[in-house]
Amino acid sequence: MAQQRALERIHALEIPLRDATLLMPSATVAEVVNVGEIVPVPLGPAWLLGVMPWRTLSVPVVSFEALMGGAVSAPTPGSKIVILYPLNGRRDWEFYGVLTHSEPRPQTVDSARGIAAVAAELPDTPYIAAGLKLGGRLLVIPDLDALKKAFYP
Amino acid sequence: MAKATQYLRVQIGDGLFLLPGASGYAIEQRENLSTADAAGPVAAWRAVRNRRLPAYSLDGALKPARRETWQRAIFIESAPGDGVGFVADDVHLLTEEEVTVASFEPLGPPPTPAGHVFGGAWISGTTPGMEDDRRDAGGRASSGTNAEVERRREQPSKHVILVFEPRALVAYLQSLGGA
Repeated sequence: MAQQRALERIHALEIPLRDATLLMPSATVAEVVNVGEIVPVPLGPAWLLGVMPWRTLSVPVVSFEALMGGAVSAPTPGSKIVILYPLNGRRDWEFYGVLTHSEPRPQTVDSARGIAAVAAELPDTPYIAAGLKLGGRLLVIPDLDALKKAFYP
Repeated sequence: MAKATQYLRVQIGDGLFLLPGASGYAIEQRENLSTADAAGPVAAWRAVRNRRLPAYSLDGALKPARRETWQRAIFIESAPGDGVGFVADDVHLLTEEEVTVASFEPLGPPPTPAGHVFGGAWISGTTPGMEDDRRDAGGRASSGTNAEVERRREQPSKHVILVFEPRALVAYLQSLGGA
């Protein structure tokens, strides 16, 4: 029984954006770091905020708000960068970062607490695959395949 | 990206970049160039045999920007006797011992048919074993002894400097027109 419960639980990270909250499985998250110097990448899309040093790598940082068609986000005093593992099929050094609006929060999701959101409740963007209503709040789950197409067309 | 034995650290407006030396380049002082008309993105011309090669004036975002106060231009050779240049505010030669270039691919659509204009990145100020002020995926601050914390404070700050992909940079400059 305990094993059954464990199977239904997913450890995730809430990533607060300006007007939405992303929900990413913890397994996709490498680290949460403070916002340091982000160097702009000339000739890049507006949603690419720039690149930052992380460990020995240069990691591109994305404004998810801008990717979804909104205004480019700027760091707030509570902002963090969530460093995410490379997308499926990409090279092992291709980590990427998402700028948060405030401090990310760990979240445990299980089938008893979460209710799947209907399509009408989700932002109108190809970059969101699904949504989950948890305690009256809407958490949206990114479409990683769509992200991959945008990042590496 | 191919490993170069030397790099040029180039300042363009408020942007700082590396140009691999393997690409073949020439640095020309302003007085050796003929200045272009005020209109258009070309700042100056370099005479090579029977040809003239344009040097573009750019800002730190690599967009054409008219600037009057510049002293030198860098020309990248695209073929024997052919090439294209850009105005640089500051130029320093760095050897391969001073630079560790890692792979980097910008996100999003490449701005030129030859691909992205950056093919690598150098984290300047990097010291082996250097740690960040970082947290794990659960939001917990990473631990460390007082000595470790002190060591981190003493580390030089890290900055990313993007490394040009010369072929794509040439393609981008040539797409600006005016030549």
